[in-house]
Formats: sequence, structure tokens, C-alpha cells
Amino acid sequence: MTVAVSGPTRGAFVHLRPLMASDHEWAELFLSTEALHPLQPLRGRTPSPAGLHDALWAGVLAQYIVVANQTGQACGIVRAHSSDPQSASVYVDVLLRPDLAATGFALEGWFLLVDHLFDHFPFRVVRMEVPEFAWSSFASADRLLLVDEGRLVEHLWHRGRYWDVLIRALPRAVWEERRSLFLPALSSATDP
Amino acid sequence: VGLSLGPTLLGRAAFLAEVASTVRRPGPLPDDVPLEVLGFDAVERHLLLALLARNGAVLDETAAWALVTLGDAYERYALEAVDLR
Repeated sequence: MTVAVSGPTRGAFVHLRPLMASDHEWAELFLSTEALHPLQPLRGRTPSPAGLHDALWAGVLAQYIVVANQTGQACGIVRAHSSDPQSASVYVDVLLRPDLAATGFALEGWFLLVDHLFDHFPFRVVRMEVPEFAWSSFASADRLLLVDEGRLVEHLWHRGRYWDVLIRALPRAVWEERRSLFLPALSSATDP
Repeated sequence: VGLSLGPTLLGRAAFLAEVASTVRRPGPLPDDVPLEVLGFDAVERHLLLALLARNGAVLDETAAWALVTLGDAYERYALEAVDLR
């Protein structure tokens, strides 16, 4: 059965496809690649088959494979987890192939997930926790989109030293103001 | 290689014609380009791709690779068009 993807989970460059049980082996291989293995959810581990299910799904609210529209190539995984109804907040992880993230191409998956979360849940804010060593390629988001909420000092051991973990927030109001800049398919769909 | 630029867009800025010719040029992927020397990070590059898409470009992964190699001219246009700085 073919399921057409449309609406907020489809952007100009990529679309989001739910991660399914049949994707688990691929997901473990993908998340074990050098650049992504230190990050959540694996954090350097190669869990047992039963543990892999927990690693991929514990606390997850929504989880998608980012797929390129033109080629069908998997660009990465974006996931929302640790939602908290009292604070109306949720955390997201963005795990993309480094080459496709560097060009900005696959980042649309991140923004599609954010849009989906604000669209379907009454969250006030979407947060990220990112190790300092993984943030340099995305640092302009501090100026363009995100609020600096501080850091966990020397929180994560990686390659022989402790690194800070940066805490960044995207408030709903900021996203609603700027979403059409980051999701061109949205603006073209709503233009007269 | 997946980039489709409409005549209106091509007429708006000379450098976009350069974009089109570069992207359509056959050859290997520029995977040896040190992206960090171009001055933009991944989020800014996404904004630039989004700007082109909003103006009618259809981009795939290969076209995105080619676009980020254009460097300075690409940056200058984008900074004028995306007034966020």
C-alpha cells in the first residue's frame, strides 16, 4: 500500500516518514555512525535487540525518518521526547547525515517536526539539549531562532574530555513568526 | 541535476544565472569542499535554500551541494534577500 505524504510533514526538500519496527536495524546502523553515535539516543552504546527498542522509543512522543523528496534517500531521524504537560514543553533530537545537514538541505526535517509539534500539541516551547562539540554547524540558530537557556557544564564525556551540553529553546511565538522563512513549502502553499 | 529555476527568478539577479549553470554542469559531487570556509553554517544555508525554493527552485541533495560551493556571491545575495542580520 502506498501512502501519499502531504501536509505539514512534507516540505520543499524532504518529508517525514514515521519510524517503524522494520526500520530498527537501519536506525541502529545509522545512529551508530561516527558523528551520531555520541548523541542521544545511543550515547555510544550498542544496545541489545530488546534494549534497542527501549533506546529508540523510551519517552518518545513522535519520531520520523527524514526522507529526500526527489530521491527518496533517508537523510536522518528527528524525534520528540520527554514531553511535559505541566510546563507545556517537549525536547527534540535532530540526527542527520552530516553532509546533508551541512548544506542545510536536511535541516528542513527539524523544522517540519517543530511545526508538527506546535500544530498538534499545545506546547509553549520546544527545547534541545546539544553537546557543545555538535553545535558549531548550527550556531546561527542562536541568532535566528532559538533562545539560549544555559548549559550543563562539563556534562558529557566524549573523546577524552568533558563537554558542556547546551540548552536551547524555541518558543511558540518565535516559531509562528518565522516558520514561513524556514519552511518555504508553507509560504508557497499560503501565498495568494 | 534537480534544480529548476523559472524565468522570473533568473531575471532577478545575474548571480542566479550562475547558480543555474553551475548546478547543471556535469561532474562529480563537490564533496571535498571545506564547507566551513564559506562563512555560512547549516542553518543559514537552509534559509538560503528555502529562499530559492520559495522562488521556484526544485532542489535535491546534489543541487544543494552545488549551491553551497558558490560562496561569496551567494552570500551577498542572500543577506540582502533574507534581512535577518
